Amino acid sequence: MELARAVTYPRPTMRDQKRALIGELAELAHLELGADELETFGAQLDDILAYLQCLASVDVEGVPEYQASGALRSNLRDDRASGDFDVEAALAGVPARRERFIAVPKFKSDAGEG
Amino acid sequence: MSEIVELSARTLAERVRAGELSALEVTRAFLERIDQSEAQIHAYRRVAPELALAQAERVDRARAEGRPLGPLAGVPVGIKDIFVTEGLETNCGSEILSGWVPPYQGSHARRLLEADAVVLGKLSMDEFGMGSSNENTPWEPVRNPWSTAHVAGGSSGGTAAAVAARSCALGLGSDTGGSIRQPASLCNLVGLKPTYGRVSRHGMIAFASSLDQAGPMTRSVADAALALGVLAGHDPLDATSLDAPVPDYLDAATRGASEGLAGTRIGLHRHALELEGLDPEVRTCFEAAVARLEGAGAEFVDIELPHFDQAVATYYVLCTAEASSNLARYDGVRYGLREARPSLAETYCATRSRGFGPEVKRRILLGTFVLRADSYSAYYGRAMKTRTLISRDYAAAFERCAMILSPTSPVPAWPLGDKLDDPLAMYLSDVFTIGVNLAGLPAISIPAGFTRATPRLPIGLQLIGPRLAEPELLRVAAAHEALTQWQHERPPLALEGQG
Repeated sequence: MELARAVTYPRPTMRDQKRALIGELAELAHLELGADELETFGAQLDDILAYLQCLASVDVEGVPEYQASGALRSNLRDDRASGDFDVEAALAGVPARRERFIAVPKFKSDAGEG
Repeated sequence: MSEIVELSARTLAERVRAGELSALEVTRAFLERIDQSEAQIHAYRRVAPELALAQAERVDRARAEGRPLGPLAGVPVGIKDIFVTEGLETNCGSEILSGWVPPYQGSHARRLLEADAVVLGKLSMDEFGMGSSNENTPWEPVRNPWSTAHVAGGSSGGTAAAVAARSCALGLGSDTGGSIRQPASLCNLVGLKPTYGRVSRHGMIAFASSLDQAGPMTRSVADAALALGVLAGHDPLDATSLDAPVPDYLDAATRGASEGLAGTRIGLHRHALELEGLDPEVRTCFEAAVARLEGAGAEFVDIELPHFDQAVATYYVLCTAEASSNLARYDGVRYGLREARPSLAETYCATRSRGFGPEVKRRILLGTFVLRADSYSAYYGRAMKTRTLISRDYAAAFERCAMILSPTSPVPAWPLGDKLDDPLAMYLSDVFTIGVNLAGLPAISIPAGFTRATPRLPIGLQLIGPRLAEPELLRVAAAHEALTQWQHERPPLALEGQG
């Protein structure tokens, strides 16, 4: 019986990894990117992330995350309807409407992909 | 070109209130100026002549009926298209908001109109405020009135170009990392970014909510003071609006123009002046300004900003993170562009992919990356802590001085297209302005001279103060202005329009 020839699968290249990362980020951000965009953004993000590495040298031990000055107070209003604008005005700019509702496609297409 | 367009906003308001000029003739003069200049600079996204003339008529009618007029009576203003204006299409520089007519009035437009200003239209900008050259746009990029082959800066490039070209008397811009100050510097203007919270953010389309501020762009310090007096103040519609009294900014500017600077301590961060990439002519103008202010009595002290070199990186982690969140709402459902697909999720993707330009996509991707669970501590969390350190650096500096002086932009305006393919180079041009936004401080850019070669390109310098130090900044800015003639220079485009 002949032994099956060993198969070596190519390791993902740096380029593949970059494209995969950009693809993953695009999916999270609800963006469709073409092949050219994947390539370009991958290279640019590489440069930018390399630059951002300068933050690694900052000693942040014991330093709290930034909060705006205490002079800023959340000024709360009374919880009552103010009637700033009516339904017709609010819906005037929506791309598609049905009566008092914003019309949107169903969440998933009939093919089950969404 | 009518001499009316050469008058300051303050003078225009005084003459309209006195009945020496009508709001209608002032508005017509500026609309004519827009007709003369727009084809060359593309400052306006949308001009609203009927609306403007109707507003002007209301001002004139009020005056005829003996009703008191506001501090900006009849003053023609241009508003950056990042600010919501009821009934007037607002795109924020993006195709994704094409066709969107806001159903409500933002606080900025409301305050300007209540002060009896006349809104001429909406000014072009980098998409969602992301950019330093007004080239990140699906439409025609804005051109600098000082040289139409050069950028006007960004993201408030349209505002800067319009004010410089005299196609509005006063402009409203926004500043998240320098977007008022840098274009002001590149166009020989005064650009004021107030303390975070000093001016409401209600009706200002959000880019990075912890950094965004609205402010005026003008041809004189007094006009900036006048405008800030109208814009500043607590707004119950903005939870981050400062509940602090509004001082008399115009008085501060007036005093500055006549008093010396004895007793004023100004900080100098010498490390920043050794920056690679600082244009030699910017440095020369800056050093001349230091000598000028010293001659007027100011005392300079050396200060340190130990985390200055990390400010750009900190900013681009935080602003992109906030932007990725703020821009999630643009999904084709409620407003603007919708690229309809069979499913909702596909509609989101198609709309956002078609509607956003490359710079916006790039920043959304970066912001999404730094907020991922496995990136948080290395990027976003670390940047938030570095931001604390940057804020502390400024606080420590202000124990030794009343304000800090620096160049605004490391370079004068550059040729259109020069930096489009290198986003990092573009980001680094914000090096002097960004720390101010991270620390929530006020800062003003003022004219400081010109390059020597033709075309002569403006150079600006920046004064940075502690929170709510706008009166002091205006005082010193006015003092510097009184010692120079830069504000009286007119760009070649303005000279071409002379009859």
